[in-house]
Amino acid sequence: MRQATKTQYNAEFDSDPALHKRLTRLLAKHSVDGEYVVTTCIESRTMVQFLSPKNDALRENLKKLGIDVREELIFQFEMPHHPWELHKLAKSLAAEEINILSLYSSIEGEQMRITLAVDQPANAMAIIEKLGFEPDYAICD
Amino acid sequence: MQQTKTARYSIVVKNRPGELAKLTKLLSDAGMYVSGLRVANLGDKAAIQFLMPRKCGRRQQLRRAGVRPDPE
Repeated sequence: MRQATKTQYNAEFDSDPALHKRLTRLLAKHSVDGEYVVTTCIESRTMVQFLSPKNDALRENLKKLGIDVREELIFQFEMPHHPWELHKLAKSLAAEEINILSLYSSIEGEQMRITLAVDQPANAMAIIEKLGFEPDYAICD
Repeated sequence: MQQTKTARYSIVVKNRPGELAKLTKLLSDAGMYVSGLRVANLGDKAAIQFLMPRKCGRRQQLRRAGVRPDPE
C-alpha cells in the first residue's frame, strides 16, 4: 500500500504583515518548496497552506511564533479537465457529507490535477476510486 | 498569437459540505471551464477562488450567483 510522502500544513494567525514575514523566513529556513504555498485571508485571519515532508521541528517553530498549526493528509489525483467531472467529484463528496478542508487544482494538458484534503479521508478515497480516479496513495489505518 | 485573458473570481461560503458542489453545478450547467481552482477553510467560512478565461456575459452570470471578480 502506498503511503503519503507529504503533509499539508495549515498555519493560521491573526493577519499581521510582520508575522507573515517571519513565517515566510521560517519556511525558507526549512527549505519548504514554494511550488505549493497558498495564502488565504478571510476578514482578520490569515492562513498559509503548504506541502512539506513531515517536519516536527518546523511545526514547533511555527508554534513558537504564536501560529496555530494543523496537519492534514492529502490526496493527489488527476481527472479529465471538464466542468462536469469537477461537479461529479464535488457532488459525490457532498452526498456523503464529506467536508473539503482544502483543494488545489492545476491544469496539465487535458487533465486537471487535484490536491485534496477532507475531513473523512478513507470515505473520500473510496468515492474517488469509485469515480474512476486513482489517488496517489492509500491511507493505512 | 492571440492570448486569452484570464479573470480570477472569489466567493466566501459557509464551511460545510455541499458548498463547492453548488458552484461546480453552476459552472457545469453553463459549460464554464476553470483553469485553476482552490478552496481553503478558515474557521466557519471557506474561500473558493478560481481562474477562468474571460468571456462576454460571464461576469454578470457569476455575479448573480454571488461570485465576484477579484480586483485586477
